[in-house]
Amino acid sequence: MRSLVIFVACLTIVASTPATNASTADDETALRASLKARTIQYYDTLSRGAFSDLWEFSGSLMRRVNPQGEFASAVAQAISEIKLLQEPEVYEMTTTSQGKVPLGKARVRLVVAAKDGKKFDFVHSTVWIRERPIGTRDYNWFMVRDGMSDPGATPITAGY
Amino acid sequence: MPILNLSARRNFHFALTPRIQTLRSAALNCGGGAKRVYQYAAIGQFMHALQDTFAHRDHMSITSFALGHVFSGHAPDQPWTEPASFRQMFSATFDELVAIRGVCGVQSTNTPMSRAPFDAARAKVDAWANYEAQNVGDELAVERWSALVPKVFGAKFEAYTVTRLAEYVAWTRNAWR
Repeated sequence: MRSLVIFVACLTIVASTPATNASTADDETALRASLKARTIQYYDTLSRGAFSDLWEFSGSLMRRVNPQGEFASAVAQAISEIKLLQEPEVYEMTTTSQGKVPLGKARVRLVVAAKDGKKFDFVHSTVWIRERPIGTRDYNWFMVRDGMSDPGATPITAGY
Repeated sequence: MPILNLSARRNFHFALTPRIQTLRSAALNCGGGAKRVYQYAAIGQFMHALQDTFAHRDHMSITSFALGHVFSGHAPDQPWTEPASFRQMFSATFDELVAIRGVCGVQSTNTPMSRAPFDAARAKVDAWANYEAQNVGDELAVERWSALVPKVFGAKFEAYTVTRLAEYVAWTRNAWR
């Protein structure tokens, strides 16, 4: 009986261990692939002009400083069209020191047409964190910050 | 600021080094004694542009001059978004304020000052920045920042965040009349 209790307790601990603690199934390759899929989804949302959905890609910190409606409307006011010149590339993976939460960096070359008709060709770099928003069941990748550099320049200058 | 206000963005929010130098010269062109409103404005514009060069380090592209940090909203303006840059900005701000004080300060305040209180504050900012740099994106960053600020101000926390702020707000209401 006692060993059964211990077994159930261990099972409970294993089941409740957050997915952020990179388990064997959640190795770097899988995380990298899931981040790449997430960035493709993000740029697809941008390309479709579904700006009101962009907030769903924001990390919890970004959400705290960007009211949802204001964020969508700022993007909509500035941009009329976005085209990807290549597939997004995940170029760095790491974890936070506290809790070993996965972090990743991605970049892609874009052409953006502003509302005034001007076109801009640049590299959009993004930093993502894997987290589980309150009220949701699954972990996913969410944007922490970004950078915009001219083609050929170094994207995201300082560490994380 | 309107999203496509290119002139203001280029001049103050995404300023490049030559522009920073111009703003710095304007800020230091004040002399001792009482200041005119435009002189305070010049100091404020320089400090804003200086600080934004650190906060907007990853948005120094032709596209950013036009579109700002449109894809991340207000995030680049938060100290926890890029703590390493914030640490550099903290020191640069202090150094420039000392330089401005040396040139623009009235005689009664233009006395030699010790760097010790600043160094003590900077040690706290360094410890905070080291932790944040290794934990970017952590959702408790806002709370850690809120806990840091009173420690950096020390005994002057209330004087600067309540009293001086209220004086400044009152001054801005009348200064441009």
